[in-house]
Amino acid sequence: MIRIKTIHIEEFRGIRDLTLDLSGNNFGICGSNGTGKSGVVDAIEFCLTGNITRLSGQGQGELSVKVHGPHVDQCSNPDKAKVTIYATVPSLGKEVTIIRSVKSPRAVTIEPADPKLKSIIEELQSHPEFALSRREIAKYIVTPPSQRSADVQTLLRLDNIGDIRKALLSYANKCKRDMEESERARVRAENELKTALNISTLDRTQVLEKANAQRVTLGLAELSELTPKTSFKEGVTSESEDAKKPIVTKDVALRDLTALSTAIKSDISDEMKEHINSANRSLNQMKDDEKALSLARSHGLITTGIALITDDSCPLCDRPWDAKELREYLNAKLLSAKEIGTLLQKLGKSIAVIVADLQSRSTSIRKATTYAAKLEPPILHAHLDAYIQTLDNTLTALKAFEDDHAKIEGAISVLDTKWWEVPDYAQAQLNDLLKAVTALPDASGKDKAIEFLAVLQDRYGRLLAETKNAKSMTTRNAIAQNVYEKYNLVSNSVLEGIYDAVAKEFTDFYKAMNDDEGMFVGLLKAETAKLSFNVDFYGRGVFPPGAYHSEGHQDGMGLCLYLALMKHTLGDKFTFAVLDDVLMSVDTGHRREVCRLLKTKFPNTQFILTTHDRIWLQYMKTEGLIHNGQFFGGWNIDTGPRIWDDIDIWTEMQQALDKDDVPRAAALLRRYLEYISAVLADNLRAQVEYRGDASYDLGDLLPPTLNRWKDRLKKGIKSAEHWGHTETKTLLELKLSEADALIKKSSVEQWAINKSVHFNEWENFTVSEFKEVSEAYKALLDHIRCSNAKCGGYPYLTPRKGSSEQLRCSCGTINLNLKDK
Amino acid sequence: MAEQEYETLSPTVKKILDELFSVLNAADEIDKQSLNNLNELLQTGKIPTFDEIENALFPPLIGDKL
Repeated sequence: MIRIKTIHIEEFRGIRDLTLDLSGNNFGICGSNGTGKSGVVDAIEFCLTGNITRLSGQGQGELSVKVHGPHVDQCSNPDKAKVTIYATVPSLGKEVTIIRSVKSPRAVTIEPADPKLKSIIEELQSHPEFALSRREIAKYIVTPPSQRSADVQTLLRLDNIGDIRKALLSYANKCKRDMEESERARVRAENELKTALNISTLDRTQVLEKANAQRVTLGLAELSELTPKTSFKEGVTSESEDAKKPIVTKDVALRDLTALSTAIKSDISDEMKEHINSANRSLNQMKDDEKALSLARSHGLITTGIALITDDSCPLCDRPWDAKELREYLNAKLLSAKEIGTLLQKLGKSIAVIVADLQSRSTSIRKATTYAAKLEPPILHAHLDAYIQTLDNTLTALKAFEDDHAKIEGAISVLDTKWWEVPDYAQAQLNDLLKAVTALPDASGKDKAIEFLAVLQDRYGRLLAETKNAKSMTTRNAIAQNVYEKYNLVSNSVLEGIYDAVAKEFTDFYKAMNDDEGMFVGLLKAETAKLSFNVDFYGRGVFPPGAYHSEGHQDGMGLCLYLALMKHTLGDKFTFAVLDDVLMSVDTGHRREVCRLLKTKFPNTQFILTTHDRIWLQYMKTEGLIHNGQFFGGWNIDTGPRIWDDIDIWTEMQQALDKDDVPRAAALLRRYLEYISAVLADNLRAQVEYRGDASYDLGDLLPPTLNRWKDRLKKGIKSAEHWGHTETKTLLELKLSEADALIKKSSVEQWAINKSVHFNEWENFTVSEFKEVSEAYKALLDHIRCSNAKCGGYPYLTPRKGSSEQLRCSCGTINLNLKDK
Repeated sequence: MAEQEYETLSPTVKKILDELFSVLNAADEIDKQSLNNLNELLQTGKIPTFDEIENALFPPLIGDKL
């Protein structure tokens, strides 16, 4: 992040030619509505990002930066509309000049051409949340939870957490499907081995018995154990094996074909029917929602659409609509993620069973066609091939849906077919095949034994290979699931931690802003694709901010949440923020607290604040939040903003005295002292005589305020004495003695008894007499305010109610204990 | 180059990845080299494809390449 030193704006929005000197410090811009303040904010945003939110935000479809960015007289000369920012980059200890012209909003000139500087500017460009307008506060406070989740995640730069999760989930899902597929292949291999052995359960002893029975026929030694390296054909000479190798092993082929025939005749099981029906129901249930869902997933269209329903008409065509009804309609179109998850899980189980059956049928028919091709003469099998194609198409459609749920139509259409029913022509070819195999001559005992051992060896080998593959796929799936599950656990835990930390920070900020020592609490709770935000309302429960809190409080919450999020997101890099009229609705009672919050909690952040309230700007100065500001005293189309120099009050008085204009200098001093007395009376909780019309003049405010100042110093001395802090006591006694002298010099105590020194008489003083008075007051105020040049704020008592315990300034340089033992 | 890629990763995502691989390494259920490969892949800030994850977790053996 950067800190702006100067900004130069040419022919941009309502500004013709303007240079502002911020010197890298906080800066206030004050002016009535329509004087060009926001033009400066737009210029900063444009220079750093190439965009102007006000021209590109919601409902701004017909506006564009290129056409409406230049001053209205330069619409056709966008090259003349240019913004130059000269800034420092604290993290790099470098200075940079950033220049951008409306002619090419995407092109930015960065000098010097340093890749690290370029990277910093690109970061600002991709996350332009450094600028916050009052309108944008709403997106953190009163938007729907789903939209808030997206906005907050964008601000926190969490958008690719979800993308990584999706990638890992997709990988884990595919590994799971591969594992299931490999297990199905293993089961098929096992079944084929069992069919060849004519046994119903695979048992080592039985396998060895069956193999040894044949080996005995051949006069070979019996095998004693079954291992992966077992060779059932060990001892069978290759010559005899080749000589006796049949085209089709009759017994095994008959068993294979009989098993297939039985499976075909027995139709499908009730369990399979239920899986098919269930899958069909789920797919059809998803079908309508899937249309909406795929749109929402790919384009966020419906979610965005719901968020856009803020007015009673379409923002695109202005056609009126019933916002509530439309919102309900769109919400109904979206199945919640949880429901979809459950549905997909159920569907996945049914599809897995159906796929296993399809693959088993396809393998058996394929084996039959292999027998048909090998027989002499071969049996025609074109219809069986066509049936295999049908089965494979069904499998492909179901797998395609598993890979991409958008392919739902294909899955529905194949489940509507009765793929388990063998077409008549194919059945006829199967019958022909069975007859031909049955008609094969029986081999001799020895030949049968050799054939049997060959088939056994082949199917045993395949079972071993498929088992090995299934194990490998199981391990792979376990790793994939492990990574995905741990990623979920860790990311959820980190996100919960972040939201808790942000909510805590928000609560602290809001309590500081509202001087609330009570039970106020803000809660951020992440749910699936939602981020709910609730706040305490006077201890009566937690509710969404818009439920009961006033607009002013909501603005305050928006600012606090924004600050908490930025602090968490950028940490030390949060060095720059533009708050455009954000503080407008903060009431006068909380302005000082806002200034103190920004000043004390974000000492390293450069704030550029705009306001249309001159008093607000004065508060910012009095509290030491800003040292410099700029008044925009008006605007016209030819010259742009009319600038009033924001000069120091004492300099302004001196300028009046230089012109012998004592009445003006006296008026300035009186007005300033009235303002500052009110601030000090409030800070020090002075006992001022109450007036129903709240019309206090300097005589009402200053004497009791100065008395209170002395009284608090005395209280500090007493407290230091109690605690045995001798050094502090001595310093405070000196301070009190200095206060006595300065107050005496200002003659405040004489106002009641000596009319000639009363402030009403100042305008009749000579220049030198008045000069003496003004210097006395300046010295008195300097005596009260913090001596730290970076702070310079006036001290205040804490807490603001009850017994005062501490007198302090916002930087902590003044920190006076008022409590006794 | 690696430093530049790290800069594109948000601090939060980096924190998640650091914790994830700390947990996975401590669990000792997955080969260390595979975890290093996956960590390197995710730290680039790029969203990985299926093949990239597969190659990271199950790098081809020398024999596979021959």
